[in-house]
Amino acid sequence: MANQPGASTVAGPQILAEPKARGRRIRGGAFPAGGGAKSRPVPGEPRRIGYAYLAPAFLVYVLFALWPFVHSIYLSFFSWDGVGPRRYVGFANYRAIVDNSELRDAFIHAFVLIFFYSVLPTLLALLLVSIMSRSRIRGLTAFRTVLFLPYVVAPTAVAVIWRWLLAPGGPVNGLLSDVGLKSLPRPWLGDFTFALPSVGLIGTWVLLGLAMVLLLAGVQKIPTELYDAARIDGAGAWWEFRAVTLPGLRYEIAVVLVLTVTAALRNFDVIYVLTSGGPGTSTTVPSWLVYNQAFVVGAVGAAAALGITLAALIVVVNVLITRIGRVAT
Amino acid sequence: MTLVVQSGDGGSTGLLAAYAKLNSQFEAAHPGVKIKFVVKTFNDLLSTLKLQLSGSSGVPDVTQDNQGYSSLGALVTDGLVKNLDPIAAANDWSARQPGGLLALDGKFSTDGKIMGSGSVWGISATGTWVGLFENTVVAKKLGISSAPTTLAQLEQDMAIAKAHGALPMMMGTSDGFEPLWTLYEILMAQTSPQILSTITDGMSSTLPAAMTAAAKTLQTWQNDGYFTTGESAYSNSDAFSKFVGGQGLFVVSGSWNVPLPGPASSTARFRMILFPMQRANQLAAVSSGDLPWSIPTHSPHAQLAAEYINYITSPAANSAWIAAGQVPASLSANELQDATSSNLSGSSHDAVTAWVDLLQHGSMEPYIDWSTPTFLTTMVQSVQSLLGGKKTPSAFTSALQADYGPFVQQRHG
Repeated sequence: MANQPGASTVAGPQILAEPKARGRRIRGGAFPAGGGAKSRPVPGEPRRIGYAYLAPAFLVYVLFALWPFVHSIYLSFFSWDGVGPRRYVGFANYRAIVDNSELRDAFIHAFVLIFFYSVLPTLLALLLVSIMSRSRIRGLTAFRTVLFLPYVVAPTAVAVIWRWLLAPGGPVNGLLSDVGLKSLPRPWLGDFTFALPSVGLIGTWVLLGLAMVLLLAGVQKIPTELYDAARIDGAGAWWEFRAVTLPGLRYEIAVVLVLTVTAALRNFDVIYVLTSGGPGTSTTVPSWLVYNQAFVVGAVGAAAALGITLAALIVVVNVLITRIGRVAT
Repeated sequence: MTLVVQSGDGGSTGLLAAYAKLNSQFEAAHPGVKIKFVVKTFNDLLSTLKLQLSGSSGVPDVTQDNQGYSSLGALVTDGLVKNLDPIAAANDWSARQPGGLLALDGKFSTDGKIMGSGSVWGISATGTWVGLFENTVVAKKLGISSAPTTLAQLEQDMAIAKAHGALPMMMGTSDGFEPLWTLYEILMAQTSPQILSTITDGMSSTLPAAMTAAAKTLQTWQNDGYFTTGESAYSNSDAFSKFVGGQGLFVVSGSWNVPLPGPASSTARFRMILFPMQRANQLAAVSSGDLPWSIPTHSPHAQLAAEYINYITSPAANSAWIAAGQVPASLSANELQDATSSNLSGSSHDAVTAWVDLLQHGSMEPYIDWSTPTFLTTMVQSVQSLLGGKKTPSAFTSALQADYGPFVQQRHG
């Protein structure tokens, strides 16, 4: 406490007479204990007081994210309806995820969605970005905005729009029969084979804009000299992409993958509004099961176990992605 | 004093209008009492109810919940609602509503483990039944002059419609409800109406073989092209609004749809009848009360709450329900007069008169998807697979049995 007033009075002179103030800050400031030259913080290094600035946000984080997470881990070992007495069941809730084919299928569906939510938008965005980086396009800002727009729209609104688009008498089917593909129209979201890919393509549509904006920003910071050098070396469009654009974008690609894979794995709103896991169990995903178990069936322990497994999966996949991103350098 | 009343009937305009009227009548009869009527949607109510009632503040004086193990059953198990036996006895609720209705809407054993018998924990104010809506204009064009009175006649009418290129039955399966209602009615028609209560009672842990036969009939109707093309993309309410828009000869749906939207000139062509059984004189329908009313254990004004529930479910409330086009749960032959003399017409009139028929000579049977906490989810997924050609009728029954059997066994064990 004694240090505090000293530290605050220093704040003024620090700006006016920097060298002197710096010296005083070290003596009377946040690092009084060290004394030796080693512990002397470099200017601009964080001081311990920084933790106090962090505290309010950290407290909120602990209260609303960390503590519920830890509590969920605890709950996942119980059979509990949310109110009454809890019964300890060990790992039974986790075993069910492995043993029960419906729960297992939900995780498989989530991985199928990764292709549509993550792989496809990233590939498409790379293609678009490499085209954009090579040529001047009129109205680029307008294109960028239009492509980014789906990401800004609320997922529920997206779902409602697509339900209309994909309805049996809707525009998508209308277009298909108008161009002569009479055998293709079908109730997409009610079709056992096509419901999951349909939901997936909606994800592609939503996340393409995000992927593109992030990659475009990355491309703009690649020095044009590199492209010039590549061209002088006789590189065509493919080698320019392969040797300059792709390596230059590896961090952005990792970011895009982390964001989109997470979106794929925790997908709930679009499924909830469009299919509720149907037809049959063909579009069930872990997040929807968490909701269904906790709020419809009243099996809070099972829901917690599903949630924890999903969170763990997201962490593992994202660690892998960032690891790969680093190895690629 | 403010009485906080929580409803889950959000969106049901007719019901809410009647509640508003009854609330002001109740306030007039209780000077100094003000009713705060909180309206939530069904999903909002159910997803938060347990936590709300177990909290120490913000507990309403009266609330609606839902029938079945996962809602009212869980509230009873956790001691979150009051036992209404004393009020029921004092006001002779058993004379007010048919026993079957009272039992399935609000009775549970005191541990919440057995549904349909034991103490009263909730009571519904209005009732609904599932039946067959028919478009009489379409029927006339096809040369069908009267409503079907047996299952065989219904199948015949549908065959005629199909032969003339008309849609026999409007169907929407994306939420699973409509094919299930149809299945329950077929199940009753092919055996006896009581088969449904036998299943919910869980006296045997094995589902009857008739389930497979009913599933087969449903699948046959589908294969014969009796249902809407692209049905899997429509919910039951999508399908119903298409039907009211003029598509299809029949649709299976509930009396909660009346009064039908639109001008009388357009709604007059629809009639609502009991789903035809095996014989013409058999009257039966899947029926239940609307969301039951209960008193939370932590209700701040439990005494007044009891009076409120007693009032809205009493015969005195009936004229308000009927005027709003609703079917009161406590309707008796006397109130049929009310219905006839009021301005109800078309299917609204049908909804009330058929309810009286059911009360007097028929069977009111439960939704079997209440049988276990997970049965609705299981049944919805299985019936979609059945109609999508992914499950055979016997695989359909096996999937149901895998949910039903263990629960029933554990309940009695």
